[in-house]
Amino acid sequence: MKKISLLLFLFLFGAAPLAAGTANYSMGFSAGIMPSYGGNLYSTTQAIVFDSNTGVDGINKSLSGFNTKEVQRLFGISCGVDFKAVFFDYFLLRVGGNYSMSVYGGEGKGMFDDAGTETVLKCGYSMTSYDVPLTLGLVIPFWKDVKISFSCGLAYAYGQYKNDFEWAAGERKGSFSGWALPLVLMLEGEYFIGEKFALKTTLAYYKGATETIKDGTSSDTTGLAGAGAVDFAKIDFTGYRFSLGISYYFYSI
Amino acid sequence: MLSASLITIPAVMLAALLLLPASSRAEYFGVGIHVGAHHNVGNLDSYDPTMQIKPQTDILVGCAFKTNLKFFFIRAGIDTTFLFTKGEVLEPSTNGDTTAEYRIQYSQVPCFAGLNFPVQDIGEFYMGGGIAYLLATGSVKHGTKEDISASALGYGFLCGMQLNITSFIKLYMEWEYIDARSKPMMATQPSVSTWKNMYVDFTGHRMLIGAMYYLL
Repeated sequence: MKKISLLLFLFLFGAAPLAAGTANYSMGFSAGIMPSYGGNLYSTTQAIVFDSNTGVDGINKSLSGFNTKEVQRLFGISCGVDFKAVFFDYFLLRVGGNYSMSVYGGEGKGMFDDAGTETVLKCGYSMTSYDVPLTLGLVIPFWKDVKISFSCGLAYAYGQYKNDFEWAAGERKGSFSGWALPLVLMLEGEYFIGEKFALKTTLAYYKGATETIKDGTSSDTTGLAGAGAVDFAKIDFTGYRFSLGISYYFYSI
Repeated sequence: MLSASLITIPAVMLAALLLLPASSRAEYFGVGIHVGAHHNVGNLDSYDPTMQIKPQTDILVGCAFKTNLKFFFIRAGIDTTFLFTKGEVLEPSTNGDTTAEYRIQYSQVPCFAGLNFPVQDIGEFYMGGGIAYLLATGSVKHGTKEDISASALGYGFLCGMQLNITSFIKLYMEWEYIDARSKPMMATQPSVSTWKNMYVDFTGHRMLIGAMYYLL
């Protein structure tokens, strides 16, 4: 975090003495969506105990006579702020801060094989995260109406992932938290509605996950002779994020 | 469902257009036709990573309806796919899944909204997010060949670019990504259980190219 704070400080204040003619700065706010937030949410307990080698995708099973309900991958929303420096009209340095959370999906009933007996499994998944992406790139301005930019870099991402599996004879819970430095690719378009204000859309792709993390919940040992009580998982930040927002430029474009 | 959508989507978009105040009314409403492709339909290597597969590719044909409201746009459409190469499992799963071959065709009704970035009178870029309803048919060979039917609601985004040919006609290229999976619809693990475990994964990128005619 100290490194990120230092980078932010240098970005905001180190660049300030530059003349307005060679650099422009903007601050923005955006909110958006993230399909498949957290990926397939794989964990070892799901693979070893609940017959799912592909997390939430494989936990979905149905059988006539059993009350099951599809568990969908998490759908996330995010909101964030960003600070941009555009040098000589074409060169971009961007730093942001985003908070994301799952709002839909991750609830339902699957099935597993409990020592030869097909058993309904109530499942719950949730995830929250924040990230600080730092990217460098190019901007193409189209007259004074539009700017299209493409940038890439890294993000510091910290996430918390929880899962919960409940069946007639027991329960397993997992909670994981950790950080990673995912690769970030970002495509952004800005439509200027004035000299300093622009509406924008951003399409970002994150690629990266934490190291394997040990489950932080240890009281869930009922049923299955305690098998799978200790879970392991990675928190996956990989995926696309689409957002809409607004930018304010400190100097007229 | 699709034939109803064919009438309903443009009708709703036109109605919304006419109900808007004149100051914010659409600059134009376009109808386009396009062709495209979707590689790795079904994503079987994501469904079961222990399989080695030859991915299925579909050709996509469809129509698009686009309404521009100054900087804002709504883009809906109807697409259907045709099998170009079938999917095959080259190295079977180690998890007891017996899927050997699959053919998936689907139709989709996507609807995206976002921002237009016009480039003078040359054309425009646009980028938006949205939802899509997908309906699949086809067959899966897992010992015996079995017909499938599945549906899903998905989320995704659209990036596109239009080039003005005349004041009414534009060429367009689009990159569409939709993330969607159906509920389990078939049992393909006979050694494990008779439960339905296999789902249709519609997730993937679609590349489209077409021409759009602007009515207004």
